[in-house]
Amino acid sequence: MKKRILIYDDDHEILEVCKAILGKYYHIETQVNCDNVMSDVSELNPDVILMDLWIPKIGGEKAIALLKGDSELRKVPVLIFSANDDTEKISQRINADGYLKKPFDLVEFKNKIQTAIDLNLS
Amino acid sequence: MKDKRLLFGSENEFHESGTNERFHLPVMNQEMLYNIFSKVPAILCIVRGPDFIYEFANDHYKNLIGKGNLIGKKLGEVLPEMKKNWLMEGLQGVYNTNEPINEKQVKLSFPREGGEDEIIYLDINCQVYYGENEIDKRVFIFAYNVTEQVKAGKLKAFTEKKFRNLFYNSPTAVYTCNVQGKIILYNEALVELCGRVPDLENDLWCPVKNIFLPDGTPLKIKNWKHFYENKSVNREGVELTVELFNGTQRAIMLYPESISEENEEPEGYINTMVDISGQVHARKELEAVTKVIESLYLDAPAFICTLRGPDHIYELVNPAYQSIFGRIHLNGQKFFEVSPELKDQSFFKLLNHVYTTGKPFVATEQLFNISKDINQAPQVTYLNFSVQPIHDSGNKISGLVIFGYDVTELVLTRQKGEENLKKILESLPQITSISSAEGKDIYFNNFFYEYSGLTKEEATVNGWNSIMCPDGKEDLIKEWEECKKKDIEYKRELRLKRNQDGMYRWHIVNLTPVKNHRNEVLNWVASAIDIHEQKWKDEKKDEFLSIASHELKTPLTSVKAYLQLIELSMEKVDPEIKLYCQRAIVSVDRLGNLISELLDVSKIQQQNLNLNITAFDFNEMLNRVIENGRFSTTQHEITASGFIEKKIEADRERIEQVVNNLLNNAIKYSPDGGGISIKLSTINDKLQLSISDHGIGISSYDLEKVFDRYFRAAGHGLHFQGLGIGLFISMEIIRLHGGDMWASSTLGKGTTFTFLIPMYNHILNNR
Repeated sequence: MKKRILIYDDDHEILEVCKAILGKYYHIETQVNCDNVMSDVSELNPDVILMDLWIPKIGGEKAIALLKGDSELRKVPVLIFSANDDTEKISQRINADGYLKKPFDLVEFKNKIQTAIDLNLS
Repeated sequence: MKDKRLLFGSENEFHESGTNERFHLPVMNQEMLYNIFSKVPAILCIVRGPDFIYEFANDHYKNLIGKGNLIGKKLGEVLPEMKKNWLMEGLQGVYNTNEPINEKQVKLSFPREGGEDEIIYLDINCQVYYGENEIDKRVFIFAYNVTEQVKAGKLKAFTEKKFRNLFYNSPTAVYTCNVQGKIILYNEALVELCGRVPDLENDLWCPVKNIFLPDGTPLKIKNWKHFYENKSVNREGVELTVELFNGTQRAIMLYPESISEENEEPEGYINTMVDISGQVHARKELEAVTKVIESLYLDAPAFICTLRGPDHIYELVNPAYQSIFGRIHLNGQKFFEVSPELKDQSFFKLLNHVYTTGKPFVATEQLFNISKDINQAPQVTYLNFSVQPIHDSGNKISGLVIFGYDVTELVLTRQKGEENLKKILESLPQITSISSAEGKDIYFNNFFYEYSGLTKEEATVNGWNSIMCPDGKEDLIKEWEECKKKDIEYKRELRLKRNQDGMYRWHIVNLTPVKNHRNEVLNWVASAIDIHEQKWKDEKKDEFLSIASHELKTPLTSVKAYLQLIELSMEKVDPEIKLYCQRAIVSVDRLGNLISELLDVSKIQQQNLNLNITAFDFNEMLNRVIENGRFSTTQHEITASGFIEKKIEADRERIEQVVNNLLNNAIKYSPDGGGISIKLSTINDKLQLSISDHGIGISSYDLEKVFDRYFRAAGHGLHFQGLGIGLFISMEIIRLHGGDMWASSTLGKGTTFTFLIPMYNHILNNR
């Protein structure tokens, strides 16, 4: 069974290209805002989440904080997915499980996602 | 009474002392003789025969030898100590030869009670006289006790000897003259002083060539005698200058004295001379110094006065002092009687304080109201002055010295200047304040009051403090204090609250020390320029850049991802199309980097460029950069040397960015290719990396500006890609790491960029 990836990004092009890259290997769920992040995650039960930082309305940082504050949902690995140069730093600060910088290298992109899923399963 | 007659000899003869002639005693009876002998005030005894048996001894004799009952006893047994005495021998001699002896001041010692001997001096006469035959030979011993005289004489001799010693050995020149002025006696010290032995035949009164009186007039030698008659000269001496026979001059003190019995004509004169040339020299120097001091004192632009005693009575006053206080004849007057107006101006306390404590007082630009005339209104006078205690020889305070300058003109002129300055400050449309050297605010301009809404009283108490934004205020005050301690200028942006709308507006605050010629801080001038609008615009610009960068990168992400997807999907198809894809990806990456650079500049501007310090393998990072570099050029040969043993602590991404930037520059600015050498080394826990190319080089003029923002190499007739901000960002990254970067270059030959960063302890992390 394909692993499930939930991608938060308000840019449709990004969501489309991600589907193009990952759709072959994973089941892709997308969201253009993170207003219902808790229910989204609860319902969709993803194996990994990619979270844009500048995303309506509460923003990625807050959304991750909410997830990480929940005893159950905190277990789902979250990778920050941003064009922000300080992504790495922000990732460490808010205890995300990793980061993917835009623009990304295809190979590295796929590897990081798989690694996050693998680590979560082990 | 034949026997008795026999006893004293039948021939009436007795030898005169010193002669051999016999003299004849008158014939008289024994009792009569006995009486006479007993009464003569002399020591007398008669001994008979070779054993010297006592026949007669008067009381003086008995008292002398301290024994009675002598008659019939042998002299040698009565006076056993005499046996060892030369007198016994002498007596034997007289007896045997009939030669009388006549000895003066014979010293004899006689035992006395208590075991001590008494020394007695005797004038002794011994002579023989005969009775009826030779057997009746007797010796007549006659003596005077001259002990007292001898003792007195000895004392005199002793005294004379002592005096002679004193005279000859005295270190002071002494000589005597007779009434005609001829020199009789002199000592060695005189010879030394005069440089020659006195000519006893020709020298008169003083053995020198010429003599001068203190006023320089020559002394006629015949007038010398008057010295002896002048009592004050006798007592205190007279100062003379003498010219010696060797031509040198000496200053001497002469102490002349007559030698005479009371009220009698002098028998001679004694002169004592003391060489005071050294003293005179010292005194002359002192006089010269005194003269200088006097002229200083009189001509000095400074005012000087001395006050005596607890009532501060004027003792010395120089003209400058008189001109300030406008009075003459101050001497002898009490300070506060002359200047009663000063009594209320704490001056009285001050003088008394110095007088009682001995602690000097120094004041600068002290304001006084002094009346130049007792009837005149007091005038504003500024004085710089000191009050010092004067100590007497017993180290007690006996008076005061006031020394100072009238600085009224100076102060008034400066005050006028200050007033003008204040007018300028008042009209300035920026907050300005002046504080004392210690940092106490003493002046705020109108704009300050207007902006802050504070009253003068409020400003004096709280000033800047009350309008500063609480955010970061503590740090600012700390930094401000540090600068004040170091007397250095301070500049910083901070927010100040505008009273009008309660808004904290950004200002650039500048704190500058105002120093005097001795580099001492007199005041601090603080000014604040409102940069809020500018700051707001900058913030907007930065915000825009940040958003723009983000927004530009987002489509770029899609483009790159699609290109990579195409590249992957075409793996087995057309290699030409695959190459196009790869080139498109390189361009997309460059576009991404340009966007990042723009954002970096904005962050640096905002001081918002943060480091993310981790430990990483520098060698590995460097190799990757070099690999990428080699991949991007075919014209350059990139070589590297050096190796770092341990991982270093730094922001991996940012350091990589710097190395990338330097290597890309080396490639970019050597368009004709050539070698690029990278050298890696460590210096005391610091990492040094240099990258050298053989490119176009940088002129020395441009080299200074190479790290400036938007600097671009110009004048080569070439255009190079880029925004001109790469080195600016690199330098900032290196600085944030606590390191440094520099460049050396020869135009047309090539350039070397080098940076040095600490390998460990990057706790400085963020700024």
